[in-house]
Amino acid sequence: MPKASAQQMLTVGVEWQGSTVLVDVSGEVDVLSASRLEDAVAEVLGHGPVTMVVDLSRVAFLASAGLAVLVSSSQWAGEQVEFRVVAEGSATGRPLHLTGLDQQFAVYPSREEALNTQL
Amino acid sequence: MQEHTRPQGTAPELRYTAVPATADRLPELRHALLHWSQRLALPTARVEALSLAAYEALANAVQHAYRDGTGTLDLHAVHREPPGVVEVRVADRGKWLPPPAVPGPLHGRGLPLMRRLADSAEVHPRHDGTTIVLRWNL
Repeated sequence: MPKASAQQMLTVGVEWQGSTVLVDVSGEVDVLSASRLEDAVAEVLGHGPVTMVVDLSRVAFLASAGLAVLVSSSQWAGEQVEFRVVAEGSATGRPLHLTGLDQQFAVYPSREEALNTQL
Repeated sequence: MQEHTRPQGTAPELRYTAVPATADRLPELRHALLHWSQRLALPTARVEALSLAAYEALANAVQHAYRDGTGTLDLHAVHREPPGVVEVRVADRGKWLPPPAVPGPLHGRGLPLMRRLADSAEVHPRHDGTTIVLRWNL
């Protein structure tokens, strides 16, 4: 069986739109790869965005290690940064819902809604 | 690592024995389970639940069983029909580290997730290790 490298498993893209930053995640967020997402979020937050959208639409697998990264991200974001998550499919929506995390931070069904919803 | 995918009538099983309990081995085990459960023609939601719950069980063995970071785990998945049950067992030969006195907000979602994804999720401590048994009634 071919061994997928961590590199193939997770990619994290960062795109700034003014003071909003989009963190575009694709692949699998598991024990092995979660720290790479954590590092990317930490770096982005260091640049002081007003809003941070973590888009998981192209994430095919989200383990509890990845959920932990989202929790710490929302904690780091604190009151200063509007923290939003996009979870389109069941691979991400279901673990977020089953652990109640969709009540702890804002989860949107699409990138457009996450970027354009005004509070 | 030994792999057997041996059909038993209508009950194929998947077995991996003595796999090094390291995080880099988990993706291939999860993908093997994914392919195995897809062959059972389970609904997609079931396949996803099985894949995630089993991954969490495997991750528990990797993260909690071995203080020195070296050890092995076994994975056994079986489909029994009738009555139509899928059972996934993950066994380690270590001793789980005690959970922190006050659970932090960042950890401890693995077991609750398994319990919600499977029809039953049991943790069986043995004198020489721990086995997690996940079951789905089809």
